Amino acid sequence: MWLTGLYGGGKEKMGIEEFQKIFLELYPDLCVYASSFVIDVASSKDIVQDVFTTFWIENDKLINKKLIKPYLFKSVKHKALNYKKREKRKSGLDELFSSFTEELANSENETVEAFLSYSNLQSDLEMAIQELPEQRQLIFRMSRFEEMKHKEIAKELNISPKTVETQIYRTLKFLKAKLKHHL
Amino acid sequence: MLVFRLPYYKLGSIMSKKIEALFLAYLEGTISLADEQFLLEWLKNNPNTITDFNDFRRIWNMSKMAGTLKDDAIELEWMQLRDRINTSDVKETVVSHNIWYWLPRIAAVFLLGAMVAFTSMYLFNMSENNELTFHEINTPPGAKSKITLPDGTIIWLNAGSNVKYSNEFGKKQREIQLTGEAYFEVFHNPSKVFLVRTSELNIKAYGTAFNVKSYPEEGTIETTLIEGSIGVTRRSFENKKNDEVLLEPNQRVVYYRKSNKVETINQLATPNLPKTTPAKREEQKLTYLISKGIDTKEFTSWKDGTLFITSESLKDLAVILERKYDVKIHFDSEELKDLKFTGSLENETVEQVIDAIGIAAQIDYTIDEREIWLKEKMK
Repeated sequence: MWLTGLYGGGKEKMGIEEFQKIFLELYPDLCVYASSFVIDVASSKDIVQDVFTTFWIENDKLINKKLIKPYLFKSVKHKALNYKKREKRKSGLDELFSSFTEELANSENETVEAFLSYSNLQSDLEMAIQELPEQRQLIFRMSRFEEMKHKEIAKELNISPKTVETQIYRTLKFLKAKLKHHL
Repeated sequence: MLVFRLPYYKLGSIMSKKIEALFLAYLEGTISLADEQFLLEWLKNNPNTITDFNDFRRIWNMSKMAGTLKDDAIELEWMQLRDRINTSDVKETVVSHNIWYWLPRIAAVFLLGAMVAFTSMYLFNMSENNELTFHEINTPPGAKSKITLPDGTIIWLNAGSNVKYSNEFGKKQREIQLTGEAYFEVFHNPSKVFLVRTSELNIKAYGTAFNVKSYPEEGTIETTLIEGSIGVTRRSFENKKNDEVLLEPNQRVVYYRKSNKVETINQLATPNLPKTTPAKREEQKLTYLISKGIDTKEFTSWKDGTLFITSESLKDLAVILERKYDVKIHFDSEELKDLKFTGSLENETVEQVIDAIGIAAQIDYTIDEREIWLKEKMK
């Protein structure tokens, strides 16, 4: 074992600790990014898991550590676009939005900088939600994080379903403006 | 129904409120089939609105995802991934095995060992009895040479080393025999594996650059991979695929020769070994140690004339210097042998090196032609 002590230094091939660090740092952003292409939460997470598995096997090919983040986002994007083709039970509307997103994604400039900008996606989204007025924030969190229906939220907060809808629609507009560089 | 065909901006707030409500119902998953069809038609007739609605839909999904990403959920996902990469057939897990992995396995295959060793010896003798002629290249102590093989492979041969290959080389096979140290830049040819045979290990290369050090007077055989991939197997198990240790770039495997005692390893190993006769126990000490992420320059720089020394005892350093400069180093006192040195030597003369050692460790020395005496400084 004394040998490892002697020769352990120098250029480090990625160990499990470094890999874990990258995972914990980027997993939320990559999942949020994947879910902008793929509707189903579980499928988005599978895609991100797959990308990390491949990255673990092939990380030695990425000599420049600055390229790790863009590589991961690019891999998630491509896997997600391929996955979408296999997604079933699509309605006509799903189909319309889906092919629109795909066209948009294909026309995007795939630069290192562009992919790097996604690395704050989750925190940007979270911060934008926190900027919302109290009640609008509460309604949006109940809708999205607790997956409550508009009617349930209305009942819970003792307001009309119409108000819930209006508030949610405003929130979507607000978030779209806040996150425009990510969309 | 005519009003629906008007452009969006002319629709007025009642219509846009209706579309918004339908769209929200669609996101929520509560929209009726008829309403969905209506919304679809409306969007197709108002394509300039799709971007906005599509962005809303993406934000809707992203927010739902964000709600599932609590710290403990991420921790759980990490554990799943960790299990996945540990159980899948990933090269990484093979090379990271430590001696606790190898020792029981080596012990287990030992009983087969004698038989396989005998068989392979027999086969080896057979092939040598054929009408083969051999090319042999020797470098004397104090010299180095660079050889180009018939297949385009380049070999730098270090001091006091020998390579040998038959006239069959490059035809059916690419096999060479090595004693000492050599650096290889193997010409890429996937159909013919390049095989380096040392006294106890075989190294299989698939178009690659690597260094092998196998001096008979040293207790280890050391293989360092710079580029590409190589597989190392013990010679007595050369046909056993599962004996192969695959190396990735910047990794190095140190193999302990059977005949040499390595006390540290032996101590660690004893509790895990089954009861065996003393003779067998001796053989079970052989093991591999793999270090990853090493600075390969340290192990290959000899070919460019640079010699790296990392915490090397004076005793071992003397062996290296004897080979490099073709000198003989004598110790007046045993205690000097344990002094440790770290540094690098380039194109210095042997006098300069000995002088540097003398200054660094406060040692007196005398040089007489090719004989060097080291002694403790008189106080």
